[in-house]
Amino acid sequence: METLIQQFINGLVIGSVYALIALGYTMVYGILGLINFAHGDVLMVGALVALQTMLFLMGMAPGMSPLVMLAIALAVAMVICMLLGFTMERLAYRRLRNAPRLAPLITAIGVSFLLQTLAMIIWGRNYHTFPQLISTTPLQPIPACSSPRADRHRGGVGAADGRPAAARQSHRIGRAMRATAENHRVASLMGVDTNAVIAPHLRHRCRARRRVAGVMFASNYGNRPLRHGLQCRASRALHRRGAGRHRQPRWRDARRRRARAGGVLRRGLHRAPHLRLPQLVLPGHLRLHHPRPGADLPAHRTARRTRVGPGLSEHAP
Amino acid sequence: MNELVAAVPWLGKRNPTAARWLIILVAIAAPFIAWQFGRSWVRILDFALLYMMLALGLNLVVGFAGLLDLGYIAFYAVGAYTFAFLASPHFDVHLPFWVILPLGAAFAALAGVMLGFPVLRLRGDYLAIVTLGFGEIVRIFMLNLNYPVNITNGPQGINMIDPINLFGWDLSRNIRIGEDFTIHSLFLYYYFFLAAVVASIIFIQRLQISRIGRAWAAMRDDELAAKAIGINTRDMKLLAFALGATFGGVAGALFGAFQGFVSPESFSLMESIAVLTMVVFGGMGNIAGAIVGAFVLALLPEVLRDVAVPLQQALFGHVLLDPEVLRMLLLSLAMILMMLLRPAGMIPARARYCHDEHLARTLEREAAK
Repeated sequence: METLIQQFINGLVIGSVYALIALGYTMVYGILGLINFAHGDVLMVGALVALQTMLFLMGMAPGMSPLVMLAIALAVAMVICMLLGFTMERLAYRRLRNAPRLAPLITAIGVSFLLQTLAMIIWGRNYHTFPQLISTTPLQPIPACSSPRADRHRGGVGAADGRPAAARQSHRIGRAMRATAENHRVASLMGVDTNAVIAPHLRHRCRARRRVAGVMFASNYGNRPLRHGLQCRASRALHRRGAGRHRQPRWRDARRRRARAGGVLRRGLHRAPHLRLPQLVLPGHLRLHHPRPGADLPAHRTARRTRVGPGLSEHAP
Repeated sequence: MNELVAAVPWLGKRNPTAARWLIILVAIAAPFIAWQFGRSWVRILDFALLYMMLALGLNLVVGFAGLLDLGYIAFYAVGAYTFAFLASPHFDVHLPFWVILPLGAAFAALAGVMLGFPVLRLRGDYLAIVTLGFGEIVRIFMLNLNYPVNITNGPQGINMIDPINLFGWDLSRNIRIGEDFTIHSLFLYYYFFLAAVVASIIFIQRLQISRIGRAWAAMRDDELAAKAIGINTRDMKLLAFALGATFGGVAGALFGAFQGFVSPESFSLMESIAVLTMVVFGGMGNIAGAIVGAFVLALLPEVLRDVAVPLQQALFGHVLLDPEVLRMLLLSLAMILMMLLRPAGMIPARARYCHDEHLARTLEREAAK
């Protein structure tokens, strides 16, 4: 029984870490339609950067509380991987946005191998030991079934999951993101700078979470997961099941949708000087006329387009 | 061949006939040139020919039919293990080469169809993921099928595989002519593999301009439209997988016989990616591209091993980058940069679906301009 509970909790820990990775993954896929083969490798970089930061901190300030140290390492890893994600998108993926499907896929594989190789050059090929920051003594009240480490993992994973999901629901950038996911060409017609949506997306939302996952993975297993690039790739089939899930409409009734769109409009531009008007109208607009996820254009638009054919358009007012 | 001729720098555009003879001459003389640098270089050339065959087969699937296959090395493994089972002391079976080769090809084709059936409806990324999984499944099977019944001998692999024996002529034995002149077995293997590659090229070239090749092209460009004009896309996809796998299987069987030893680690994901890079680097959907890509990328790591290490020692006093790491670095950079800068590859495919004479005429016209 004890073993069962212990294994259950272990599974929960690993599962939540994987969930975290998969969440970042699904965001990239949902918006770009690109399987980011380099996802697992960014996880690896996150873990290694965190490790490096911790070793540095331990050398500089040995008396520092482990939790503070963990937080700092987390922050550093997040920033580094954000930059890494941004660079990847800017240099490799952006130019291939409208290329045939094979091109970005092959590029992503190349980026994945490149990151692995660079990590091998920088950190060497051997395993590294992740310092024990959180004590591993079992919690007493529930005999021998959990360690504080595992609990903290779950807490961390939960927090990291909740925040971007919530942001995606209500935040304006979140709406722009969802619009881009729905149809990036129409979204750009509506005035959304789709490149600006995609870049921070790769940069921030998913990478950051992956970073958290990287740190947790490493600190749970006590060694540096250099091979995770490959392992994650193998388990990608698993992640793919949920990929693109957030493209499904989430708001259930149209009234609420309209209210939201109207609310944004009423609040007006002065509240959001960094967003242009069409961007504010966009989410409600798209959702209203877009009952089927995956349909290319809202129904009324296709109808109008067929009426004004190429021959008629000259005479049209 | 014409595309290959046109790709010869400088000479190809000016004097195609001379370029053609140059290619033939180089192909025949290559092992003698390599021999000057040491025996291992001839062996490397032999492997380059095997990689060419693999790249040709993968080009069939990826370039012609447009199905991205990330587990292609699995068919190579099936061919190699078939040879190992049927011609080694492992099961104590020693069938003749001409029986095993078609069997290896047939098993690989069967594996191709087995992979093809479940992925009929998939395209693009999804297909890539499933084929990647398939490649890993095959490798892991070979790694673990040694218990409770020992079939593949696990991670130790199978060794002492019989060499290629062409009607009683053992390729692994040097031929001795007179007192001081011997033809090394590596040379014999080279010419045998060269013949196999040339045969594959002729076969694939005929295939490409046939009804099947055109059907593949239509399917690759627009599957729905291909269906609408009456192409049986299901059969065509299965055929693409099966034929691509056949080439992989034949190359695998030759590899097993040449190496004399097979183990699962020769068939890792990295190898699949390397073959894919060869196809992408040379130019997808293009026979000449596959050949050039395979040749360059198979020789590259060996050249690096020979050049980069002493160079680094001379420059920095010690080896900074392992040749193996350098190889991976260059492969990945080749992949990214090729996709960004020359998505069509070193030799872009052109005028693909016409007969050879037409292509020759087109090239001449371009040269005249």
